[in-house]
Amino acid sequence: MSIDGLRGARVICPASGLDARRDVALQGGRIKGLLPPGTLPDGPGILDVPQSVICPAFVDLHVDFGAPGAEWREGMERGLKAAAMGGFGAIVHTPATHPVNDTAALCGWFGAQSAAAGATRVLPMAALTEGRSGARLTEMFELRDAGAVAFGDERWIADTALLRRAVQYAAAVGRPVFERPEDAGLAGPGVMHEGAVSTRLGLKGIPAAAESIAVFRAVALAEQTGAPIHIGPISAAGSVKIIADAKARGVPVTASVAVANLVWLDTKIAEAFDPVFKISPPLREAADRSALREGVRTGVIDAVSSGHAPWTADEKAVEFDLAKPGMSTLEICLSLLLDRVAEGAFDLTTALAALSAGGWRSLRQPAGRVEIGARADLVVFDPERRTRIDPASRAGRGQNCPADGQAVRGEIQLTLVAGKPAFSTL
Amino acid sequence: MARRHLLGLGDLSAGEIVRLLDLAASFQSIAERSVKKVPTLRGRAVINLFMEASTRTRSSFELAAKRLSADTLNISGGASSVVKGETLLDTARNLAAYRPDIIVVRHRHAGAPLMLSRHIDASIVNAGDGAREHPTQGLLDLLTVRQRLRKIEGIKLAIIGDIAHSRVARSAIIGFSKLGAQVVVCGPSTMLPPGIEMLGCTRTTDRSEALAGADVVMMLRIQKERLAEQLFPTDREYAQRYGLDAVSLRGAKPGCLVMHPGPINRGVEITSEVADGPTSIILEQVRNGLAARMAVLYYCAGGERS
Repeated sequence: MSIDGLRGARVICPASGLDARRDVALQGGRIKGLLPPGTLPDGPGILDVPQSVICPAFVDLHVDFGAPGAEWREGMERGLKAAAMGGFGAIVHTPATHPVNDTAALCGWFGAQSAAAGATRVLPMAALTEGRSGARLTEMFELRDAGAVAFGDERWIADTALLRRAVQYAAAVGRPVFERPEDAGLAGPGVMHEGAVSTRLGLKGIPAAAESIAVFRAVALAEQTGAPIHIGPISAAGSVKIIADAKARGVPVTASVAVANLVWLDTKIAEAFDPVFKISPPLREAADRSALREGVRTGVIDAVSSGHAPWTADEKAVEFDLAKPGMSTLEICLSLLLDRVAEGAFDLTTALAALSAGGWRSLRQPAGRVEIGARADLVVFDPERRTRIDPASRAGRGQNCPADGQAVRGEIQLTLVAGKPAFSTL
Repeated sequence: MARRHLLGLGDLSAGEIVRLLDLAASFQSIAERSVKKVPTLRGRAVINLFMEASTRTRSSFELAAKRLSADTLNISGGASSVVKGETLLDTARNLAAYRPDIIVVRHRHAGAPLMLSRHIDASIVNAGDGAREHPTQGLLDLLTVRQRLRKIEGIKLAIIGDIAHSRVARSAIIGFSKLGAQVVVCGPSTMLPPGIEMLGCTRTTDRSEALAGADVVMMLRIQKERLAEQLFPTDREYAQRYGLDAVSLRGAKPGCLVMHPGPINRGVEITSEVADGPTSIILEQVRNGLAARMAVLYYCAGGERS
């Protein structure tokens, strides 16, 4: 059944500033009209959603489905279903796959994965260096032409001179560089935030300085070269400050945070040594979480990503030191943000902007908008209903979702990609 | 019946720790008899799962179980299927199929005994997990000091060495501070972890400040690996500034007791003169380890229900 219209919902479009009740008319994969509520005539493809919010579909900057090479973790098909269930119309996939995404052939493969009509779009991030080994630049023009939306190794590049060359080169190619800020030497074998909690638990810690050093290095290079760099995911208060100062000076950087770091603290690990809460970058202290929430509120942090990294039960049911880092969060990302909105950390429009407009801005691409003529990439959700999360009903395969067995706030009802439902409960 | 575990002194109240010490004291007399055995745990099974190398702790637990007439089984990491890639959980589940009453676990990864206690139907006793805790060492340290000084409350304990990597230090800080002692930790700043004070101690990088007025000093072993990590430049400089010798010991209270969990690096953190000297209670610690572990096994097997 094709969807021709959605009636009565609250339409929020952060990019254009719209926040009002509208009937949304769709045709040919685009938004045909935004009418006063109740004016769209009845019809077979017309849905009434007066309790819902409609906004641009979300875009996630940091996703890892383990495809290609580790498909047992989730794989592209289940991962895209999970993304659609979470309201995401597009996801940026990490290049840290096996093999690494450093050739046009593999980069093109990523783009082809969402060829199925209505599926969440896959936007490949290609590696900055061959094999992500930090030694030789990749053929960035070829990769761009094969669909790469950004370049990044998602890993510390020790040779700063090489990183500078890569950043300069990427600027000419016309794609932003994505820098995951963590000085590997300083982070060492750390498995959680270095602080009083890691001391108490006897676990090796990653000091916040490992991140600030990397953030500042990226800022300095963006400032020196004038090339756009996206820095994320960040986890510490120091990083927020460095980025705020850089933006104030006009340095072309953007920033993102993984949703988990807006929710939990390192103390969560002390409760039960639960490896589900072992993530990278790690959960840090209350002051860090406050600074991150404030960063989202003020826009210093442009985007919130899910940080989705599914792992099987076997890979997580081991000693904390040995567990793989990451959570399955695509399906609960919006809910976790709605809880923060309810707590007053920021308002709903800010949260939705961080999930859509902010991500597109970080990719240096125009934001999805709810306006006449725009592509119908939309998500419809009920902000008040509660959804029960359990492994059987989740589309994702990962056994590491922190909300398993719980009822979370908000229910995603419909995710449209070019007007076609990627996910629907309506 | 809910299982009793001993995962850390951090989980016990001061009263529970005192009860365990009293229980341990009652088991001490058994070591003096000619027939050093009581039938308390006859028919019960204790498995020692030691995934990390150990001489004194493992033999201590084995003998403790045998003196209580329990059946014992020793599994060590290198000789188990873990070298074939079996996970810790699978190893433990296989052993649990024999329905042991107690599994004593030593592991290099912090949190491993806690993980087992959630998945295995047996009492879990932590014989040392990574740098987190070594509760039976903490108990035998408390027992030894209490017997010598007649009390714990109000005494000053100085712990000197690689605090950051030491589970012995953590259990000692927790146990001694819970029972009212004043604890100070000392070492080069590279070895004093952030927030250690929150466990119940003060910190200093000055050896003489740590030793001033101390009733008890506990020296920790410096591991060779730490030299490679450059936590300090040389053994020589470490020994000069943080080692314990007769001269530096004079800064403590007269008769200050000298402790060490062993094994000792003679000439590095402690000189032979002090280690073998009149106030050293190092071997008493080892003797008391047996009684402390008998008490813990008895307690976990259901003894002393309050």
